[in-house]
Amino acid sequence: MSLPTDPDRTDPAGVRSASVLSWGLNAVGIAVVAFWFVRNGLLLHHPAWVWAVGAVALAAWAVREGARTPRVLVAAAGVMIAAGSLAVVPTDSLLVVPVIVGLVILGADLRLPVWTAAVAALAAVVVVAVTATLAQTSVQFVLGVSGGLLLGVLVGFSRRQVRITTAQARETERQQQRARLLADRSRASRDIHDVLAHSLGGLVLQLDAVEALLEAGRVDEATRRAGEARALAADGLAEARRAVHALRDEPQPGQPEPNRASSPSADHASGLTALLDAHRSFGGEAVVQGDATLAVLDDAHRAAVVQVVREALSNARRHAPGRPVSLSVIRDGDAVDVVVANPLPSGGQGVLGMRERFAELGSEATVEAERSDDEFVVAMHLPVDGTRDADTADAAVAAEDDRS
Amino acid sequence: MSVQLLANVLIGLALVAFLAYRQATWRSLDPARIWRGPLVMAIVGVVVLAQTTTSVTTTDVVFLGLEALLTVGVGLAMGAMTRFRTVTTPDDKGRTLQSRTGWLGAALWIVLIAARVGLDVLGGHLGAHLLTSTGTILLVLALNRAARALVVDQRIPRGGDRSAAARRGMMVR
Repeated sequence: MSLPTDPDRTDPAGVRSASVLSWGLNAVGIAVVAFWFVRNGLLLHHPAWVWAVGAVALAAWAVREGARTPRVLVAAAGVMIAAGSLAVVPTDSLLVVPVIVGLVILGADLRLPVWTAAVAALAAVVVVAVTATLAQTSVQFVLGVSGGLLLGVLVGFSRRQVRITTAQARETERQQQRARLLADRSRASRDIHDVLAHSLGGLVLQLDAVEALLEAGRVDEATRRAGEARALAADGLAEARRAVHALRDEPQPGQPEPNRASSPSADHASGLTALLDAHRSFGGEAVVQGDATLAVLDDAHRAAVVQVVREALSNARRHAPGRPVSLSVIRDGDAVDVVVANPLPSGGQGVLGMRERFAELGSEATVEAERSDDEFVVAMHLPVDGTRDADTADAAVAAEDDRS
Repeated sequence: MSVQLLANVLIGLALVAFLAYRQATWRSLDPARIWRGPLVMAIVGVVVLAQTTTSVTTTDVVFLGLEALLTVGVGLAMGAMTRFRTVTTPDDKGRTLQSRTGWLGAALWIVLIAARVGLDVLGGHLGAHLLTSTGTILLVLALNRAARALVVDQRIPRGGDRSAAARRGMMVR
């Protein structure tokens, strides 16, 4: 979960996000305006205050080019507007350029209220109109300058909108990343629960049996049980390692989503048979109907079924030790129903995990875990993998023969 | 002082007093319609102004700009002063949100009118005749309401969102 680390993106005022192009255009603008300001000034014989004010406006523009903090930027924009608008009339509207640039800066700054640029433009119009009145300039000139300032306000507003939109898009992206992170965490907790509950629960049963056998003096059987317990612990450790490995691996971009739901155990080729063997070795009884290898399912669905059945068997052992569990795999057209039933109710974290696991598959697969009469039934309904269907038809038939 | 002028002054004063009273009391507020008033006034103002044949001078622009700054400033201040509350029983249009600007806002309103009259007189002496036209008065009003609406629009406590500003608004007075 890497967050975007682009430094420009953490800059709401857009101080550093000014592109090289914008910087270059501004530099050219300063050079051109300064050139004509000096040239016209020498021809028109500007009074001293016009030279001073014009120089201040251009200097503020130059400061804006190098501004690194929003405060400096806004201050530079304010000086550009104030000094520029004073010198607009004496310089024949040449210095309206820094005023417009300053208005754009104020309008685009998200830290300032939205009306800042408009009010600054109004003030600039008043200043221009006063200097125009004193200099007996035509009203058309003032109106033209006002039009230019309005343009600056509009450009600033449009930039502001773009920045707001960008900020919102970034926020949405951040929230999506957060949601993905939470989903990953819940997946991790589920996988850890499945692995640990299964192997530790089985281990407790085995060790209980070992204890009972030793008390009865049946050392040989106890040794065999202890061996099985050791094998189970080793399996559990391997599963836990695989789970950690799977969690640590970054999912490949091209990988289809259902595979992300895959369980820590990578090896599900044997389907449910390994699980059933383990269940029986813990002293559990299981009645199996149908093809327990689940050959007609694709990997993701098979993995989900294996996890759910593991949880169901684990629950059955915990809540109904010594009672028979029935597992049925029923082929129904292009779908497969897997039903695990055991006496007495069960529930808890595992059932929630079952539902989440199936929801993540994103297919029509469903799982229901509920109490039905005096049994707890976990029923799964899954689509058959079309590509495997033809290849494994014989195997399924063979399995059915086996059953009959 | 003629009867006509006296009547005009009285009507004007009554109008100012009525508007000030409205500012100071709780009024139902429809967030979707706060822009309607300023928009209508601005359109009518522009239409009326377009029919005025007076030629515009730079002095006109100076005083128009000053008035616009004044009215926008007062409008922004009024918007910032506006308090909100939600009532349990909706009015006949189903609105539960109410707002008022308070007596300070009403005073500000009267200051705006007084400053405007002062500017009118000063501008008239300096040759700014556009100020006294009906269109300008409407535009100034529209700007004032628009500035207030701009601030109010951002401060309105949105439904369900109990922001700090909303709580503050509900607790005040």
